Amino acid sequence: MSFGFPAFFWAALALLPLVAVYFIRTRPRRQPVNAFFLWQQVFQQKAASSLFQKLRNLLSLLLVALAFIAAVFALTRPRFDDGNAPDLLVIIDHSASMQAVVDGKSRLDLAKELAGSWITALGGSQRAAVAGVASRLEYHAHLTNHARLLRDALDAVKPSDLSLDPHALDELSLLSSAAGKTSGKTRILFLTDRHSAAMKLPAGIEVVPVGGKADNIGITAADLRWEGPGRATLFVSLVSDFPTDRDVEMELVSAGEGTLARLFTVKLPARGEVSESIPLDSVDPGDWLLRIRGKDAFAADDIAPLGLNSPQPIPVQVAAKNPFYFQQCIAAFSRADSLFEPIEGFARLALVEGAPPESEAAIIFAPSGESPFWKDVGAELTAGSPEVVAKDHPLLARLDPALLTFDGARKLTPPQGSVIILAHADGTPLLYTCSTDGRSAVVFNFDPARENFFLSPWFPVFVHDAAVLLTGRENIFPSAVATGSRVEVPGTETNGKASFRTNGKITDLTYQMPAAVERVGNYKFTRNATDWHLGGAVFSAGESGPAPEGAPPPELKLASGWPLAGWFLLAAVIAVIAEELLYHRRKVG
Amino acid sequence: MKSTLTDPAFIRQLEALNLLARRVLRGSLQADRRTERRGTGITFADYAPYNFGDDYRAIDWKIYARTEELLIKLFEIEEDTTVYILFDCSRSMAAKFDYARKLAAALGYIALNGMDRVVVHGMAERLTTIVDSARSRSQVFSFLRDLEGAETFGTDTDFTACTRSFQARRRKKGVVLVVSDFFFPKGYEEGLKFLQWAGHDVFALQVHDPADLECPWLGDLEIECVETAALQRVTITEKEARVYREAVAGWNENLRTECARRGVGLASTTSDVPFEVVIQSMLRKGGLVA
Repeated sequence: MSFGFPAFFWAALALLPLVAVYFIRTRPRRQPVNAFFLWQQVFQQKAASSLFQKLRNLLSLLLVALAFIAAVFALTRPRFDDGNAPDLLVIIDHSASMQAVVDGKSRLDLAKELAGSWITALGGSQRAAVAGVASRLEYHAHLTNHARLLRDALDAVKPSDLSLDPHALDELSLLSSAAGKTSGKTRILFLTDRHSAAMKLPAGIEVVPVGGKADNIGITAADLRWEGPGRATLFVSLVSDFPTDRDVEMELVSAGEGTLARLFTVKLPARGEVSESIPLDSVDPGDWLLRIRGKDAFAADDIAPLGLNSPQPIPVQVAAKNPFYFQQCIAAFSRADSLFEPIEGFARLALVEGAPPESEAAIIFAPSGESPFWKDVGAELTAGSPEVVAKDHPLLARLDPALLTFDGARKLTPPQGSVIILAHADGTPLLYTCSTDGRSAVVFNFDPARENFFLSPWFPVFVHDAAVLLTGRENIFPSAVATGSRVEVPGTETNGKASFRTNGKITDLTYQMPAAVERVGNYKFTRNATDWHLGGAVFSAGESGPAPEGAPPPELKLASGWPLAGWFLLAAVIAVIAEELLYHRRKVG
Repeated sequence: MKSTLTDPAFIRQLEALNLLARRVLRGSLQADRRTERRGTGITFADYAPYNFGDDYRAIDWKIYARTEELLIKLFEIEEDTTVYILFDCSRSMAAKFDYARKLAAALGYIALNGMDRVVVHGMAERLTTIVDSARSRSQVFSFLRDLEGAETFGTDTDFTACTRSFQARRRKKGVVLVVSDFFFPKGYEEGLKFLQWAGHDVFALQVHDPADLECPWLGDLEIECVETAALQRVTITEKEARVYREAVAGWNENLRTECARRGVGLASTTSDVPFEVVIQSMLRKGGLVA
């Protein structure tokens, strides 16, 4: 046996005072009085004039009768409808904007209260199911009329920092069409604040707006990126749901110590958006928080945790007969964005002319001699435009092969498993990547000393793109991402450790690639002994900005609150308590 | 703590009140009580035609020289008077008994110093004698000791029965001073009427405990009559307290009306007012003013 509302067992405690009234002997305080006869007059007069005194016994009879009749009515489970009410599928939007506080309560709490009142009003054979939706639809209780299960399901709908996925309810299209065909056997009720990216709901879903309007300003995008040694740029984009223009004061503070790095003001138009770029001097790598000063309805979007990662230059050694141009190229990228770090001795990446050293990766021009990356270097080929073999290869993203002549290319055989990107007319690879014995290489089969190739714009493009390809730096690790995103952390380890910081508390996490970012806060991922800082923020104009314009959904007609039987039962209890009070008054005098 | 009426400090207070009484009443002879009877005193009262047998020494010859009519001068008789103090000793006086006793002591002291005779009776369900008769200053201490020995008694107060009993014992007319809270369940009208009918000058000194006038207790109570020990369970709310206050005020107003109608002097006080202030006030008003 289980109970729909077990909390009402606490009401049994009311028996204690009721029983006590009957059994505890009333012993009022004794008070000697001089004018006793006057007091007698007062109470005789009162007894003569008080209708209550006259009707007290009749009132007792009426109360007992009322209690009995009310209890009988409660047992009959009366209803206003015919008892064929449809089942309910209650879907509660628990996206980030549902955390917004309206009149002291969050929108999510208001939605749960409303859903709870529907559940309380369930009667007859009517059932309900409960689901929550943010990035996806999650069922917490399937169709049942068990009030406690349904209430537990409502409790299981927790606030999230995720945005509402406009397609999260698409899977309900089948259900809603089936519900339509079975003459409204199930009503699908979607409780939402309507703050989301534009979404097209499947037919048959009834939208129940909750929370009303609340003025809000939110951060919809933010980035923190190095501009050079010690210099960075902060980018921020804001949206306003306020009906008037506002000056928004913002601060950038370190997440750990809370040290203020920058305070600035952004002018935000009424119900509009604005973006700003703020140059920063003398910033350190680590976790940062970009915050809006002041309060509004929705707090979670007032903060954008950001990560600023230390520059991680790729150590490069140059092994060439004429290293000057190679070294200049390395130095230029080192100064510009700290991509390379020139190393005199052995390095992870080698920029090579001819046969490569025993490095982990190598960018090889003019292959010659013996190497595991090729075999049988033969005669020089005739110069000419190459044939594109791997059309969408990343190394061709910024390259126009038709402009290259590959002068000085030689006949050779690449190792098995090589990816041929460009090839000579005779099939000899001119540009290919290969891996062997744990080492990888990008081979440019031509002589860069010919036709002043060192001075052409293609030379640094070749070096840069090959280097990021070989070291897995194709994508720049972001400073912050929207909650619900998945992030690929640079490195080769399968799983890594991570920590999450929010409101000054640090929690350890484990993650699998790609790492999921679901909460607002500062993340620190450790992979291959390298730390990567990342911020997770709401970053949703739909969640933070104005609700979509348009006609409000039609008003919902649905029974809520306690069923009639509950009210009759309450009336019976009140009548019993009233009779108890009358009894007490009779005992006192 | 029970006060001592023979305490030197209290005696000094009484003496001070007596001096005030002397000055206010301006009496100096054997008896200071002024009456309406004409006699051989020294205070001129009126003229009257000379009749045979009148004392010819009283003829005013100057009037005769002017009008040739024989007129005699009449003087107020200054005689000693008996002051009867009917002292309420019922248990309803318990809270203000000491206070009332001090008032009675002060009035008796002044009367004795004025060469009046003082008799004190205790009243409750019956009449008792506290001071049978005292006269002259020499009996002040015995008067005070007797008064000091008075105790509350009885299980009821019957003012009418006590006045009848008093009249049966004391035929001589005098000044009757009733010291009581006048909470007589059977009423006070018959008693006052009877005393007046017997020819006494009647004065009422009503003494209340402040708690009698108010109702400082609210809630569920078992009220107990201090005299009869009768009990009643009641719930006193602010409404009942208000009705009680109105009932007490009505009772006292009826007493005031009755006294005024009958020409009975009445003074009301509460036990939180210093007794000497009450006496001084009475003296300055020239007596108990209805």
